[in-house]
Amino acid sequence: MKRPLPLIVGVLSGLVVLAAMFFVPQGGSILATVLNWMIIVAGVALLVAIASLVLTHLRFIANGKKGFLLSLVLVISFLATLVFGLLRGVDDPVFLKWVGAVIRPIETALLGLVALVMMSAALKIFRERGWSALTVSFGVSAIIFLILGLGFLQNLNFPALNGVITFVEGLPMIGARGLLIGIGIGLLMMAFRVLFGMEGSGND
Amino acid sequence: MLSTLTLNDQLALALGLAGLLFLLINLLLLKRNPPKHIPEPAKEAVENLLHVSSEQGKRLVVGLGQNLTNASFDLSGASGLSLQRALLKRSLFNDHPLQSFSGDGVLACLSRMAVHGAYRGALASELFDGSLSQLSGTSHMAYTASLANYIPDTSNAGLLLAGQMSPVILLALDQADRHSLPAISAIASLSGQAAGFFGSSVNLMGEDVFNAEGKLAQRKASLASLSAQDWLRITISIGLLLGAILKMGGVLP
Amino acid sequence: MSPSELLTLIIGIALTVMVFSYILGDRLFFGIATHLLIGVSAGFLALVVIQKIILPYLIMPLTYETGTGFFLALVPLALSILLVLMLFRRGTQVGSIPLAFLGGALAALAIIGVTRGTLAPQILSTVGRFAPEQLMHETEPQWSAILEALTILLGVIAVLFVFHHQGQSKAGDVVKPVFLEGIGSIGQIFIGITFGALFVGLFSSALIALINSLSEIIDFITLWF
Repeated sequence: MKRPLPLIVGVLSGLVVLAAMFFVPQGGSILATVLNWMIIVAGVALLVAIASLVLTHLRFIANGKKGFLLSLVLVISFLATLVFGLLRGVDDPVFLKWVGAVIRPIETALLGLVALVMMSAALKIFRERGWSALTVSFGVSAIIFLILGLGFLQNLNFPALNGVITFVEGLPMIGARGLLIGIGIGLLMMAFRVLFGMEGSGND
Repeated sequence: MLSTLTLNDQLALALGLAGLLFLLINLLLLKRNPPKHIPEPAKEAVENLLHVSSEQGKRLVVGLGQNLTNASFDLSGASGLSLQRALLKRSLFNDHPLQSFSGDGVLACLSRMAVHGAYRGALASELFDGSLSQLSGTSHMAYTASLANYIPDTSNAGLLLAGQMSPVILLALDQADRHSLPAISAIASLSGQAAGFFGSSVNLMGEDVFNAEGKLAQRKASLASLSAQDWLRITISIGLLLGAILKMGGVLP
Repeated sequence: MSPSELLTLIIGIALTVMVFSYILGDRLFFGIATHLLIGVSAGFLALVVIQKIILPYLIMPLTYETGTGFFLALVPLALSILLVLMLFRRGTQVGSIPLAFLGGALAALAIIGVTRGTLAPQILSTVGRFAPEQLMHETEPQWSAILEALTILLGVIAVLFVFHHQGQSKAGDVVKPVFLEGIGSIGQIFIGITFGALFVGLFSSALIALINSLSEIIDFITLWF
């Protein structure tokens, strides 16, 4: 395989999508077809990646690699879900109930762990990052928004205070807007680099 | 054609064209006049990670994120790939080469391709091992949990998070902290950047997330886009000031 | 409580406790629970992809489409086969074609998405605060609205200049121009405020999840005592 072919395919697909989005409605059907292909290819890529994951863990088990017990848990749970789902169908309520019974408590507990981690991390933030405009404004903002989150101040019903609260509540949007524009600028440049084959590929 | 576009779309078109133009001009200028870029602390941090990794013969773990095509088509999810490539080239022949984890099928395939390409480029295709770039979980929780499991391995030298991640990734950063592993986070989402602010990791914010590789690898396209980003930022700032005046004057709808 | 409900409750409690063993520095039980999550979610997603994407959009059109439709249906099939070949060491390279197709299309979508969906709306929304009808009420200036609009405008510009790459030479080093350094410091304050608010938002949802997990454990214990 020579390098120019993927480059040509990439540039062409990008330009077709750009043109189709610009010349709506004429390009609508082309765009729908390309999006359809993208969804399929992304789906197949996911299956390939999952197959690769399972094969890797099977190899760990076969080689008795350290921690192979965990690989065994992964492979068995994967195969059990796949077989159960193939037999009952992915929309089957019993199947969904059992999948939920495993996924939901783990995910909820993991999110709960995040709360515990955040508590300790927030306390260490000044020690780790020192005192700067960023850390001080972060600390003050976190305290203020924690207090505002309680709703106590809003319930006092002082018109002047409510005005201040509304103003303060709008402040995080300023930083978010600036960061979003910055991220947008960075992403735009990255997109141009990818589109015109300047980003490089694994085949460089 | 232009008249049928909304103000939002006209502005979008102008910004897109301006961005492209700035990138092309800076690519041309690069040949004559190399830009003077401010040294990036993150570059130093990544260099340090690489140094520790090769000195101790330990592995660098790269988390590439979990959304490129998972929830929506979002290119920012691929922001870690160029960094992975830049780092890979320097760790190919280490005892423990760079290990990357993705939480998205396409990302996992692209990352596998990058690893393969790096070994092929070094004329060492036979050393390529697919497990060096793995899918590690198909949801953001599974992805984070998988990383959190892998980090305590004693052969790891450091953690680099680059890509689109949910704030739950804080668990992985905490795990790195617990095991005294240096960490760098370059997360493309706003909430992820806020999460990266905790702990002791070097946290990249805003557009810097997309620039870590540029200052590390010094590739022409990346360097030109750093300068183009500056130009676009100045253009947008002037546009904001002018727009505010025009809006007050009732000129803008 | 039916036996099946009791079983799901016991499984849930066991998994929750295993995840919380992370706090004690445990790796085995935390690892088992999380590998279970990875396996089950991967299996579930693989099924969803097969039944909701591959069968209806890739396989079925090949059986009923004719003419151009049939040939168009062959394209994703060919791209998919090339991707599947990536599973083999020798086939890794051919995967670059479908991935290049995806990369190019993703880049185009990003260009449209980021200019039309992020940059333009954020700029217009910032400028929109300066609409005369918002800043003036009849002939009276609305000072709070004026202050708010100015804070937003200058704040956004300050945040933008936290990130700047081109510098000027000074004693052999490349440094950020002093005025940009000043603007950037103000921008950092706004970023800190945003991160603080995001912290509270994330903390609140994580705390709710923590309370939920703990209350399930407590409910389970009270069921027996």
